[in-house]
Amino acid sequence: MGQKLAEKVSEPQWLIEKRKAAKQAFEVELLPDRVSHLWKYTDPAIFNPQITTVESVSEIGMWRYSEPGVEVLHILDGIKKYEDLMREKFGSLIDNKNLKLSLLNESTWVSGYFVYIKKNKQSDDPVSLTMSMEKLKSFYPVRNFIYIEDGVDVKLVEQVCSQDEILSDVNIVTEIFLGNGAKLDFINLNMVGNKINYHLIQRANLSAQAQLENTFISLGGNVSKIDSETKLVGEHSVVMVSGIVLGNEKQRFDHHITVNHVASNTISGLDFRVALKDSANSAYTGNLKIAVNALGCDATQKNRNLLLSDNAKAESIPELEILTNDVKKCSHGVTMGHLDEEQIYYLMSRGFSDKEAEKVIIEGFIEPIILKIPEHTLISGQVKSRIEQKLNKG
Amino acid sequence: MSELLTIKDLHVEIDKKEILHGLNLSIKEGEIHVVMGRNGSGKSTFTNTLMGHPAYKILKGQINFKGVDINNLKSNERAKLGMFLGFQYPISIPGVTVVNFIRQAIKVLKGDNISPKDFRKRLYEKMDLLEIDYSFATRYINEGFSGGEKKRMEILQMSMLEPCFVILDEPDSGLDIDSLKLVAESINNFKKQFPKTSILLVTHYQRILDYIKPDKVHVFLDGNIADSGGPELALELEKRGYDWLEKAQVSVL
Ligand SMILES: Nc1ncnc2c1ncn2[C@@H]1O[C@H](COP(=O)(O)OP(=O)(O)OP(=O)(O)O)[C@@H](O)[C@H]1O
Ligand SMILES: [Mg+2]
Repeated sequence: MGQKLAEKVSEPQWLIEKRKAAKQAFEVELLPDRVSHLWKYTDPAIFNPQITTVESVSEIGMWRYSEPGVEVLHILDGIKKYEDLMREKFGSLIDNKNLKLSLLNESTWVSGYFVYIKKNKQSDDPVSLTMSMEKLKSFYPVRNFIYIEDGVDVKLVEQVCSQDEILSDVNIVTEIFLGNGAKLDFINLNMVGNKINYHLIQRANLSAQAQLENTFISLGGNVSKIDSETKLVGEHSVVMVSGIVLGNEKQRFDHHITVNHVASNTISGLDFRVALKDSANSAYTGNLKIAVNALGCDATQKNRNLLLSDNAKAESIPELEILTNDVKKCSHGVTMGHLDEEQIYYLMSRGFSDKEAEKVIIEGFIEPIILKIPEHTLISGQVKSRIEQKLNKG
Repeated sequence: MSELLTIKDLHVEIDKKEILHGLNLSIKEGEIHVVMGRNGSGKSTFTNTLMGHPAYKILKGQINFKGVDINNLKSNERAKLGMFLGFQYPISIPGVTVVNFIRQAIKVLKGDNISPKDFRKRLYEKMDLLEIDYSFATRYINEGFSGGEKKRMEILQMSMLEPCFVILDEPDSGLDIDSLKLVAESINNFKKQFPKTSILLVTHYQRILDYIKPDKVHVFLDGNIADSGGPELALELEKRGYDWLEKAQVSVL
């Protein structure tokens, strides 16, 4: 099976202090109230684990990163090797929005990745970050730090996975920094078993002209919550967020996606697609912020929901905080619907059974997002078979 | 040649409204039948009933196909017996490419597992005949297609799926003159390759009959066949319209 990432090495003093402070703050911090949109649809107590055994994620089949310009290390090794950078940046994107759970992470994390992509990178191969949970009943606090230098173009695939029977919980915090004109194609794949409670805080910071493609593929988990915020801090920076949720049985998903236009002439696009079977449940919040001084921004949002059973339930919550009048374009659209009878008939007239027709339609619905996964890789095969398995069930 | 399709006293309703009122028709193996008739006379109701659209309810009567009573068969079961409907208004399915759609359809229909390479070769041959650009193979089916492109895509599917009974609901509507010729030639080609295949062609225009020679022409009027004849009937309709038929019917009553 997987091999452990580097064991915990001694931590620098500033980090020890940071953790100590976080631990104290965590203990007095109350669980977030359920009034604010962030926690309206999911009980935060689910993510405050009763389990106290803290574990490190394992890497499975992790690629060797000896290539020039690509530095992928255990987070602690990264902190030691790049101490000046980390003292300045590590934790700097973490805000107060989701304090209890980010403090929990800060005080307890034991594993995660440090990724530093430099200007002298040569290979165009995607970099894969795998986080596998193997202990039946543990708590996995994971911390990732991703730093892309100016002008570098890279693709990262972050995959969180486990066997089906695993009952553990996971709390991941990922910080992403994009330098001027850097381009990152980032995919977060939730492939954990259906008994895991999955909580992810992701913060991205884009400098001028940086471009982020931020893709979420959410297939696993008992309750899965993602709190993501991209800050467009540099002018002409661009973020395109896309996502799919494919829920079945009693799975619950809660995606809270924030795009924050801080600088002028920044562009954002959101395309989030939710398909739910059985009594699966999803809440999707698209939170769009345009700061008072951010002029000439362009923001589009689309959320599509496909309900495949009478017991499936989807909510779509737009939260617009637009503080300027000088907006180039701002649009928001939601669709909520069942399978189209005429599409089913068309497919059946070509020989597909009703079940097969349903499958073809759902696969088509998520296809444009699935296409973002690098083709003919181990990961794309795993994602396809997981989807297949979910669609064939029941 | 033997009987392929026999319809007796067919009454069909949609949304509690009876549209077809006791229709009778039989088609033999290898025959080409043409259906004409005014807008709203029930032609598509008929084609969709044949294909098993769940919204159309058979109140009375029988549809017998290849000796099987198919009244209660689902659309896919009818497709598996060899029926094919080229839609008047083809539906788009976002995210499903033409090549995947047709390949999977062949698989579910015939259990065929032809290699991707052979499949592509066949597909491109048929696309050539219809002058469909290869780039359409990886486009999502009917998504953003023009009216004429959709019609050609239906014919492409027909020639790939090789049915033994082809229902074409206005394959010629909205086609420019060149496309009409391509579509007609593809149908003729297909017919030449599979002479036993029967065709039921719904059209408003005599022009397609310059290419495709029907054995019989039927005229729909208010949910029934008002008159049947040979190819000359189509020419007469072109000249005289439908009014005279209506009057003729009234005088018979
Ligand atoms: N859901 C429905 N409820 C009530 N009437 C309907 C419904 N669907 C169809 N009809 C009616 O049934 C009649 C027959 O329609 P049909 O589509 O079969 O005509 P058509 O002969 O194919 O016409 P066209 O030449 O315009 O394609 C029309 O009057 C139509 O309005
Ligand atoms: Mg019609």
